[in-house]
Amino acid sequence: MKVRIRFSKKGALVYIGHLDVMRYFQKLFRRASIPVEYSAGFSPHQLLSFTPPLPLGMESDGEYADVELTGPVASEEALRRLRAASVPEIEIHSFKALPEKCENAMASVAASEYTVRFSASPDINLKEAVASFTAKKEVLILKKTKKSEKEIDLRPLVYSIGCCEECIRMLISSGSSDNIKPELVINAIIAPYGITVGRSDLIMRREDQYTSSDGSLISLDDVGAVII
Amino acid sequence: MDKLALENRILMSVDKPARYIGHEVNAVYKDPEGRIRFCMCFPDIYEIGMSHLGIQILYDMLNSFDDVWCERVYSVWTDLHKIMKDEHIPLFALESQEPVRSFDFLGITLQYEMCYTNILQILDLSGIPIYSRDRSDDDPIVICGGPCTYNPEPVADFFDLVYIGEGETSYRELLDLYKECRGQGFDRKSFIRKAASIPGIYAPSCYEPEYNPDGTIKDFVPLYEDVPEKIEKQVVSELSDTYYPLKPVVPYIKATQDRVVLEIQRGCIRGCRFCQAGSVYRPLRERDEKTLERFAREMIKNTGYEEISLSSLSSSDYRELGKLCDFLIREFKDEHINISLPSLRVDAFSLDVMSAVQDIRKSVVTFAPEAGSQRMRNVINKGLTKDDILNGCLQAFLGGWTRVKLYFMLGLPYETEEDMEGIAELSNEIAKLYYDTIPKEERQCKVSIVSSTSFFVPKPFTPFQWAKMDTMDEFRYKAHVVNEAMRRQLNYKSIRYNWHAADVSVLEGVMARGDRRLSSVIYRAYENGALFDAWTETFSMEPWELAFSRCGIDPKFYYNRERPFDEVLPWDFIDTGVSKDFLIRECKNAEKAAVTPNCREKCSGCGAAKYTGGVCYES
Repeated sequence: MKVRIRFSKKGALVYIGHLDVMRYFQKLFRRASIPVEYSAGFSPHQLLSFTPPLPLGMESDGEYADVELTGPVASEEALRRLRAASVPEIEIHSFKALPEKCENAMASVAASEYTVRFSASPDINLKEAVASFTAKKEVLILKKTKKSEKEIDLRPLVYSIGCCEECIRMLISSGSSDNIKPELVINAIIAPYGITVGRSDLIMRREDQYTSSDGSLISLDDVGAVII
Repeated sequence: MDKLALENRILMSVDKPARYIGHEVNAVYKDPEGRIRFCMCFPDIYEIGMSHLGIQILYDMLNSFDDVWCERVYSVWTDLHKIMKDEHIPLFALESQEPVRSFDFLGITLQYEMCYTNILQILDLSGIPIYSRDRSDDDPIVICGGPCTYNPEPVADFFDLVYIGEGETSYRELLDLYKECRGQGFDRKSFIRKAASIPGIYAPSCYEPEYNPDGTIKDFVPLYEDVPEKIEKQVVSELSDTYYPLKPVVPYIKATQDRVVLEIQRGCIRGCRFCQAGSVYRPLRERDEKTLERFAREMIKNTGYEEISLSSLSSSDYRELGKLCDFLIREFKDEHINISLPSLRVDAFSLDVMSAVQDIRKSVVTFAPEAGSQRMRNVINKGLTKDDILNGCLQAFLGGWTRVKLYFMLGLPYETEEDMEGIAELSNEIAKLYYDTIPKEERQCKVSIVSSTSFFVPKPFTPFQWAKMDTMDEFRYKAHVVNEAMRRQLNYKSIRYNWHAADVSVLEGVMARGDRRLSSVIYRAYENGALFDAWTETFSMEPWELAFSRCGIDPKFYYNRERPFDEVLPWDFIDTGVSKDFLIRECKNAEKAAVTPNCREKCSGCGAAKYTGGVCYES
């Protein structure tokens, strides 16, 4: 059976990369005696899939790992063992069975939710800036890829956006097609004021990741069901 | 957010920031209040330092003491080094992220000579005065240990104390003395002098060398009556009953040694004459097999590692190796745990084990004949005959292996061109053996023989400690002789030949047998920019050449000079148990190419039996 695990990555551990997180989980499963299935062949490895890499330096409350098990474990029991074997900076939130024929974590992501703060607040009315962004029908920006630059309309890829105090919360398109980075949206919001920011000027946090189901977005956490 | 010593801006700008954040699985956190703060350092980058078993043992031991909190620090890579220098950021320990300078102790392990400038980086970035004599009561006590302390003299002036031998025995006494002194209003000098009487503790400032007009040492004497003349190497006599890290710290980033390490024995019975470890770690002591089974189970459970590696010199001499391997294979077969067995003699047994635990297509059979001719192998007392090697290869080829790695040394004493050419001839014979035994239709690919030579560096406490080491030009010539001989071999297309850089070996040779006058050279080299000298990408001879000439020191005096048996050597004040008489006897045997039996065949009376344990008392 396939199981989905939701976890947070926080504190000092924002400085460990995606591959190190994968290696961390491989060892965590062993410490917690989770019966993980291995691939066949000469160099067997755990059957494990993660949501797209979290950028270095970013916290997250909504990271996911899908893992194939050799047999069932009750969610409560698995959570108890995983939590006991994990460091506090990687917090395990859920352990749920996925339905048959479910897309893996990496492939199923359609949108991500972020909160963004400025390390030094710009001298603008952020609420107004966000409101005027929202009011637009079209926001054309240049999106750089490895090979070229292309013009895209950012507006329809921002599903919702709000502003509270000095913090912007946004739900934006992500995944294999139309992957949008939150700093791209921030720069589009503040562009009319003649300012740009880099990633190091922002404190960002991934809140959750979503998949599309029958035309609506649901949290990756809500795809699976608790194992009793 | 946890407290981190470095700002986000800095961590985001350096390579592998995970090196500097701590918080690993099994890292130890304690309330610092009232505790002795000990910072343990491996003076190389995190990935190397985290792979070192010795530090893990001491970390575990010191943290098992309730009144101590031991943390770790490693060298910072050149990118962060520059930032910390420019912005005056003090070096910090990984766990608490607090400045190293605020600790009670800074312990540095000396694993290889080429880390000496890295020691200065640690002190420099910490804001601790480089020279012991310049430190105040506010600075930590800086202590070192590890293999290079068998001649600590080149770095003696940088250390307040040097721990000679195995760390498990004397630290408790040292810490108790520290507490006692701290209770009485701490005075650094008097603490150091008192510590000098603890077994295995050497306090360089309590001794002074006197030199002859020719630059050799005339005398090396204690300055005070209550300080011992000789420092006795510390040894754990019962290995099954000592500290072992059953919960080793597990790094996030991939360390060089990314696995559970099971130390099966200490010491070696072989008596290879070039090998320092084989001499200073005497006598051989085995760890009880049942104990190792328990360690293996617990460590796998506590770390989640997918690989377990046996560690020791010459593992094949462990008498219960078969039983232990059977256990490991049986216990972990279904858990997808790899077993790796380095330093194993290649024979039917080890190939059997290897084929059970590894993928033959990927694995390589490794031999360390060390010398190309049988005569030369007798000179160095390497108890490995050509028949052993060819038989081992034959078995390996029949078992499906096609890759062989061979390690040799160049520049050994009494070496002739014939011996050098022997390296090429042996490589060729092994290739020929493959083509002779494996029929054409069964060959999946060409056989691959990789032969590597390193340059011999004479080390203290070996029978070659008096020997003259070759110059760079001589080394290059010898590598050229081997290379030419390789080209003449029939099967040279199946053989690849690599040789090490000669300049690093020469520098290592200077440090290995140097004395206190080298400390100023090391300091100058560091100021000239030498750092990470053990890394080919960062090593440069230039800062060193400049330092030698500025200090008016001729490196050849240290490496390219044969010493008479009666010369006072810088490390003579250390008693490793192995007597000088034995080393002289062995040196003379080398000249005659006479083989000395190993400890289990016949005791040669080296002197290590004074440590009441191990192979000297096996029945």
